[in-house]
Amino acid sequence: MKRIVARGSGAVLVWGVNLTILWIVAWAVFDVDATTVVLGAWMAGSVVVWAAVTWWRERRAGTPADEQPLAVVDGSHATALLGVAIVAALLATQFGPWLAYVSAGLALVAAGGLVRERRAARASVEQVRAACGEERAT
Amino acid sequence: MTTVVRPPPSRPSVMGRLTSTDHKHVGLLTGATALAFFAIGGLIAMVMRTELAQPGLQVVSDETYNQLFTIHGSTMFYLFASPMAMAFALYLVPLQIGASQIVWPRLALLGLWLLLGAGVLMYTGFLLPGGAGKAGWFAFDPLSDDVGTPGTGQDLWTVSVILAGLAGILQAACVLATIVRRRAPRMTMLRMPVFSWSALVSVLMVITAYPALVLAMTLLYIDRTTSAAVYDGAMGPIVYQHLFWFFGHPVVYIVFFPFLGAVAEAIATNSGKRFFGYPFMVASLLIFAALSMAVWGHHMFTTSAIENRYFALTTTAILVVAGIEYFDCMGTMWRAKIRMRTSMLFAIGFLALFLIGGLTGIFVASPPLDYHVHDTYFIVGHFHYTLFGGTVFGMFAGIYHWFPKVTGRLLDERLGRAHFWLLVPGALLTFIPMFLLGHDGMTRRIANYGADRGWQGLNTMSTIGSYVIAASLLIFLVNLVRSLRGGPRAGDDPWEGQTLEWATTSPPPPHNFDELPPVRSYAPLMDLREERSS
Amino acid sequence: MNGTVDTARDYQDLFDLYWPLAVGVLVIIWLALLVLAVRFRRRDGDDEWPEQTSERPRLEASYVALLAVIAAVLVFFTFSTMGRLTADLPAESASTGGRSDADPAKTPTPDVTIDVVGARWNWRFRYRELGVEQAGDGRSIPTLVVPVGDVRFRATSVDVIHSFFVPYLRFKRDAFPKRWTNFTLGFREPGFHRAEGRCAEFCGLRHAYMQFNVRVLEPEAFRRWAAARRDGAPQELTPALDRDGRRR
Repeated sequence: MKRIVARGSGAVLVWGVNLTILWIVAWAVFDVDATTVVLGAWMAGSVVVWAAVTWWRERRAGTPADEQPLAVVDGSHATALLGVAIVAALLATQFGPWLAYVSAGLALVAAGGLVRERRAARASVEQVRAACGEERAT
Repeated sequence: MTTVVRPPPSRPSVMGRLTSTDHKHVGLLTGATALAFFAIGGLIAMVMRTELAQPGLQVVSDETYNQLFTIHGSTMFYLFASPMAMAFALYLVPLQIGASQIVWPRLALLGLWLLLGAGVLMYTGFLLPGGAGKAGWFAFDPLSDDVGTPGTGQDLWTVSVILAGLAGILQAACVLATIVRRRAPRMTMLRMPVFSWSALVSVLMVITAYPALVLAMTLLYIDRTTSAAVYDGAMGPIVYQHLFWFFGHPVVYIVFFPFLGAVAEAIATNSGKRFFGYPFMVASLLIFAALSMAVWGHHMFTTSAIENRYFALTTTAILVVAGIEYFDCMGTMWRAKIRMRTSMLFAIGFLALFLIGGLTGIFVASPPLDYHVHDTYFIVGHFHYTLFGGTVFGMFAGIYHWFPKVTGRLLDERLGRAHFWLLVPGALLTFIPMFLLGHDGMTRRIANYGADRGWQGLNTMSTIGSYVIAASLLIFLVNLVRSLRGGPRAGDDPWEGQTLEWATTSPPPPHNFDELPPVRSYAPLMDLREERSS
Repeated sequence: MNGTVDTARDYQDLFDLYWPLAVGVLVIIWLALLVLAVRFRRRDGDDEWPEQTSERPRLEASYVALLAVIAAVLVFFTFSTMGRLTADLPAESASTGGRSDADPAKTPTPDVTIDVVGARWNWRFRYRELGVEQAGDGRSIPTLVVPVGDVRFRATSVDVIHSFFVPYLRFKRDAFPKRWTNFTLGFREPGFHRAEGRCAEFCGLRHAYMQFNVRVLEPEAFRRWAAARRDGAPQELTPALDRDGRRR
């Protein structure tokens, strides 16, 4: 048990198993209504499936390679804009389709900004990789 | 792990702060937003209590009162407690597990912006002629549909809850992924500190439960704004309650666990001992969180729509896991050398006051008992002890404990003690009378009650208590502002902490750690200290 | 009169178990916290680290077992109270699927059946076999007249969810639109309870005013009352709560 819980996905799997037990008790021992069975199936099933998938992926990938440079993003104006776009989109259902157009426009700009950010991140990772590569060579 | 950094801009602009994806900034801003809403929600409560002190209507109309309690509850859950739980997790988990950043930082930032949108929309209702949302924070159908409560205010309320739910899911997902993928090299899950474990179970519950809220509210919104009759039919209102409470019960534990974790850290640090019973604590957190997902029917005991016995069993079982957690917190104090700092006072206050909520919770886990006190002030008293005694006291324990790390300055201990010693009697005076009122039959969500019921005395007591709470929170505000302006410098580790966040500067640099100490247990700094002295 | 249903007794029996236990646990834990906080406070000038006992697995395991036993006892008594010949019956609706505490085979079959209809913001009581109806209006609340003994109720709503709550009986049941919730209540003694009944599920603007009186009559007096009402005697209405918290 300790070895299972010692992994992140393992802890989640244990939680998923707990949920599954509670779900089984609900319909096997008691006569719960259909909605309870469905909600229980969602909670147990989704967690177990996700934990199992993550466990399997961890086994395949092994521990994350420490040597790979990782781009850590500083700030993201595009994300803030996307947030505003989402709020505007929901408000469009109240205040009129013109707001939907505004929201679509904002979302487009935000998407563009996100693309730029990712490119910039990739570029700086390349830079670092190149610099480290030079260091190792010398 | 080598970290290469570009130096950050010298003085971040306001926009820079609001769009920063550093988990510390996102966590801080989310927490600050949450705290502001706590104050606003509290002010609303004071108006409500002022109205309730006497029979009859003196301060507000029935119509206004219905908006007030709706927005009070909604603010406290959707805009304060849940975001504050995520804020603590976002800020502290990466530090505690030795990560330099969270996974998917943009998602966490998006969550913050959706939360801000939610707050604006919810309160915009007050500016409209029909008023703000007024069907309760739970908005049961059919009261909350466009026939039961027409108007844009209720529409905006529904949208704001959808946004707040989405915000929670996004931020929780980041924390979960970070715990699974970014722990320091030798930090197995069983070497993760107690706070991070409590954050883990919290975000697991968010991801499993919040989709039900978003679904319930989206369907409600469609019901309200289109001709589709989503919740019509005999079982419609029942299905709504299932969806809502499937979220609505876990949320009270989501806003509890991180602050239990904060209390655990505060107790251990102030006691000078490692946290007691770690394996039992971890097991109990996992089981407790699972149980929390399986008890939602106890909110529906009086509907004749569910199997009450199953939910009575799962709810009563919670006393076992809660008992373990009390045992471990108190076991940490056993044979300790306790420094009675303000964070320790709040930790003990948490244990004492949450207990009232927990015990009354076991009481109402029994359906025949609940048939009487459901929807009365007994329940209001019960959940205010779990939320106020639990979430709020635990939050303050965490704030007094981690403020130096976050800001680099110390809060004043004398003001902190005044805050605590005023808040405890305030909390007792406000909420204990509610048990008596509820038991005598005073129902919830009423602005007016008869003078012939003899409820005035207890209500007046409760109102006075609420003013005491307000006074104590004012003291905290003064303390906060003074220390932020120029309190004494804290240094890296003012409390002789045990976990990794104390092994870096206060506040931590953008990349969190210049060098990670070795991790051999859930109290790595303690191990290091013992090693050095031997 | 032998009514078989006694919701107040069901409540009290469980209360007498749960409440002292809760108070006892509260006192014990508060005392323990006090003792721990005082006894293990760091003495001035003592800079040594304390002894690092961080687990006692056998002690903790026995404690967990004790908690499990307590939980089992509570559940046992709750379930047995629920299984008594008692108030609940399954709900009926267009699409069935109601749940009840009681075994339908064991539930009593009383003589009087009352349909409770909640509407924003007043109550209507329909006595099916007797052809009598009591309903509130405007600023008045109606009186629920019942005989001593068991009375069967079916509750529904014409609009939003309401809840039929009689505090002195320690019982409430929700009233849903398009659905009937069934329950049996036992009235043990004659008497008049003014504005005792109330709506317990928030239903909008005048939720606080949605109340009713309860009048319990001896069976003979009840029959006379029903006959008089059928002959045209007016129903008993009392003033609803007003803005100042009075009933005028």
